[in-house]
Order: sequence, then structure tokens, then C-alpha cells
Amino acid sequence: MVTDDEINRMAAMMRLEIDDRSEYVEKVQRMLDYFEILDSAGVDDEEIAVHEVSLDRLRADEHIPSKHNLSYAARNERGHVKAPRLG
Amino acid sequence: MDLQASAASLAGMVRRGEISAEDLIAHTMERIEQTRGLNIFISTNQDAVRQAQEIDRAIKSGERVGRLAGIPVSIKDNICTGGHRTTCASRMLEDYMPPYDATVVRRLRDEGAIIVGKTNMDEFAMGLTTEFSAFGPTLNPLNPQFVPGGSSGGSAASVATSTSAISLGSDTGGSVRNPASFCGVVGFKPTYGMVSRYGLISYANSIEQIGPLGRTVRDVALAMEVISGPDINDDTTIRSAPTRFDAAHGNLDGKRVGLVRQMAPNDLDRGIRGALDGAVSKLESSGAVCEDVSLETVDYSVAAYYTITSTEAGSNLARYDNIRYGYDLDQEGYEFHRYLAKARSRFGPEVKRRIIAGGFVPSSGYAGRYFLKALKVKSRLTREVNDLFRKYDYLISPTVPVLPFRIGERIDDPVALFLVDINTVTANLTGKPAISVPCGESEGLPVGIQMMADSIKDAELLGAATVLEGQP
Repeated sequence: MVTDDEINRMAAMMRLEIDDRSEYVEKVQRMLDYFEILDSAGVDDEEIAVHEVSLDRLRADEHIPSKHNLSYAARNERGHVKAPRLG
Repeated sequence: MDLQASAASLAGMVRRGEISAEDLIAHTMERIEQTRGLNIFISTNQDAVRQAQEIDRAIKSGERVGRLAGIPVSIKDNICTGGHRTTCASRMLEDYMPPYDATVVRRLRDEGAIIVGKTNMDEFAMGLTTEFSAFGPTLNPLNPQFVPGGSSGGSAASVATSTSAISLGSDTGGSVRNPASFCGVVGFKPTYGMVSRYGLISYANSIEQIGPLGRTVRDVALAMEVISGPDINDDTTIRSAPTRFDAAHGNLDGKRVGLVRQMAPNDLDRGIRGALDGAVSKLESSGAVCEDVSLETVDYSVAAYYTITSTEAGSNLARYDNIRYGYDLDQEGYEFHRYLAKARSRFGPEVKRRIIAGGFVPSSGYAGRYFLKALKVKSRLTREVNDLFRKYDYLISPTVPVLPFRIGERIDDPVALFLVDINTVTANLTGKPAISVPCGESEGLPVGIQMMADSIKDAELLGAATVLEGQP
């Protein structure tokens, strides 16, 4: 069972400000309760399949110039990205 | 002008000069205005008619034009269109202007397609009713009291109302096939890696694919020919995948089709059962042999799907800090973390719920209970599906095991909504291609039938799916 405190802690960790806490607690709880059926899947001995890709299948590790300025949407100030002060 | 004609036939008429691209696009834009009450589009392209005039000029002067020259195409609003607002139906990105086209959009434009607008969706593609859009729900064109499905609800409604001939959606757990089924159109989820995701705003990138919707299987195949193929900007694209999608054949002699028992339970709606029986008859008349098969792990697939996608969403949506992407919120007076939390409060309730769940399930103390188990379910499901494809060519089921429901009917119960995905998530978790084709109706609402094939057999699947079209 997920507690109110746990939801608060997780929301803070995920950097979310939440107004109606009780609504989130109840619905997130219902989601997690439903996920509990994974317990009865009997997959404890199953290996987690990993998809390996050998390096030669990846593109060459070289710079491809872009004609787009991908940072133009960010808040630029004199060529720097502006962010709030830390701490 | 017959806006309901297929994209393939409209393209032929434009190329031969029987209709002008300008007329076709002007009529389409008019139709968009007439259907505004259904809330299909988040934004429209004000330059569309001028772009169509360019196509007409090229045709008149004998220049070679692309395969989709002058064809009205709509794009789900989580696929980037350079210089045209792309919002993900979120207030977080309501003014976001991508600096580049997604690969699929560039490929459509290179073939002369005209992007008429960006379609409504569930915020960040999280939902299956299009009710979780920050811009209000899209209504089902066949009955506006009902949801159009989702999350690509705007795309399906657009194709159904002829406000585009082809639309691109994204499918993470059924988000192309589910609205296709609810709106009575064709929707296709390609093999993972068949279509580039460059420029698709990520939600759960390990399983999602961009896929086309159209009024015919042939139109969907035509769209696949244009958008599929390797892309240097997406290393998950398959290099050796075929790029020909000839959906003309309908001969299934000797093909074996499995009906997945877990996807058509005994209490299935009678109308949906009837549509499934009708689909089986069509496949059998074309030479296929159909029989019941079992996929035991399907019962756990939805829980595994939501565990994995919430985890990936929590990580993918961390980038929305209002510094790299965002809206006008003054930074003065805020400490760094407090500012991020304040800015991110613009996410809608479903997105917030999944981000919180996505923090829990992979975290220390919970990962063994949820996330690692979900990955194991995914592995077992893949093994079971691969085993079936050694014996069967195709698997079929209803696309959605319930009929479209009313707007507001299920929005307050996240788990009741999750279970609507039970027949579609398997294709995403296993990376297989799957298509939904309209096959009749029940209580005046459309029913879609899903066909799934083994990886990379997308073209064969589209060919086989043509059998499901038309009258029995």
C-alpha cells in the first residue's frame, strides 16, 4: 500500500508540484495495486532478454553538421542558456 | 469533389491533371472548418493552399512530382513539423516550435504531400480516448457522444471525416490501432525499427512506433513506402528492412492463422464476436486455415506494459524543465528545484500520475516487485509469440475487446481504461507489426479486427489484410 508520504516524496523526486494530493494518492495506488498481478505471472525464473547491437551495426562515430540551430527554443541570453539560480 | 476517395486514387487524379491540388486542398481546408466542432485538429497549416499551387505549377510545367503530390495529410501533434507548432496536446509545450521536421514528415513532404494540420491526441500520447488532451477531447465522428479512441484520436477522426486522406499517428500500446477501430478506419503499427522515430516526441521509446492511418489498406501501404526505411538519425531503424509494400495480393492459400483465445473471451460483445467470425470466414475463403491458439502471458501483458511505459515516461519527461523547452514563467524569486516543480505543474493529471508511478516502479525497494517482473513478462510473451509464429503466419483478434464508450464514461478509473489495451499491447511489447481493419459494426459503432505478423513481415501483413476489407 502506498502512503501519502510516499507519494509526496516521489512527486518531489520527479519534480512535480501537485495540488490535489488525495486524488493522486488514490489513483496511483490503484495503478500500483493492479501491477501486483505481475506477482502471479510465475516469471521468477525467466531471463530478461537483452537486445545486443554490435558496434559495427551503429553509424560511424563522426560529427554530422546540422543546418538547424537546435537550441533556439531555449532561453538564450548572450549565447548562454539561462536557468534559475541553484540553492 | 470526392474527398472520400482513397489517397492512391486522389494522387493519380492530381498527377494526371484531372483535379488540381489547389482544389483538393482548398476543399479539405473547408471540410476542416465544417468539422471544427469535433475538435480534430490542434492547429492547421495556413500555407497549405499555396503549397498545393506549387504542386499544380510543377505538374503543368511537366516536372516530376512525388507519389503523394497534392495529397492532404495530417500529423499527430507529437511528431515534429519544422516551423509549425507541435504541442503534444500539453500546456507544457503549447508554444513549442520545432526547428526541424521529423524524418517521416520530411519524407512525406519530399513526395509532395501537403500537411494540412496537426491532430489532437491524449497529452504526450498517454491515454486511449483522446480525453486527456489539454485542448479538450476529440469527438467520435460516427457518434459525437462517444470517444474516438486514442491516443491518436484526432488522426483517426481526421481520416474518417476526410479532413485528410492519410494521417500519421504513434502507437505505444495500441494508440494507432485503437482509434482506427473506434472510428472505422485502417491503422497500422509497423515492426519496431521499420519507421524512424527521429522527431517523434518520446514517451516510451523502447516500444513505440510511428504508424499510418488511412481509409484503405492500400493507402496505409502507400504511406509505409514513403515513411519507412533506415535513418541515420535513428539507430534503432532496421537497415535491411524491405521498402516495397505491395498490398495488392489477397491470396492466402496455405497460410495459417491463429485466433488468440485470451483476446476473445467468452463474454465478448456479440457484435464484436460476429465481426471476428466474419473476418475468419473471409480469411478462410481466401485459402487460409484458421484455428484457436493460446497466448498465456497476455493476461499479464497490460500490467507489464504500464510498468515499463510509466518508467520510460518518468525518464523521458524529465527534460521538460522549462529551460530547454517550455513557456513563459519568470525565473526570478525561485530556487532551482522549486522552479522546475512549479514549471512542471503544467502537465495534466494523467501525465503526472504516470510520472509518479514511473518513479515508484523502478526505484530501490520496488524494482524487483514491479519493473524487473514486467521485463520478465515481456521476455516470456516474446518467446510465446515467436513460438506461435513458427507455426502460424498471422494472429487475429478483435483490435479492442469492447465497443467505443461514451465520453467521460471511463475517465475516472485508470485501471478500467488500462484493460481496453489488452489486445493491442502484445505487438508493442514484442516489436511485431499489427494492423486494425474495420470489419462491420455493433450497435451502430464500428468494430476493428487486428492482424499481427512476425517481425519484418509488414508488407506480407498488409497484403493479407486486404482480404478483410469490403463486404463478406
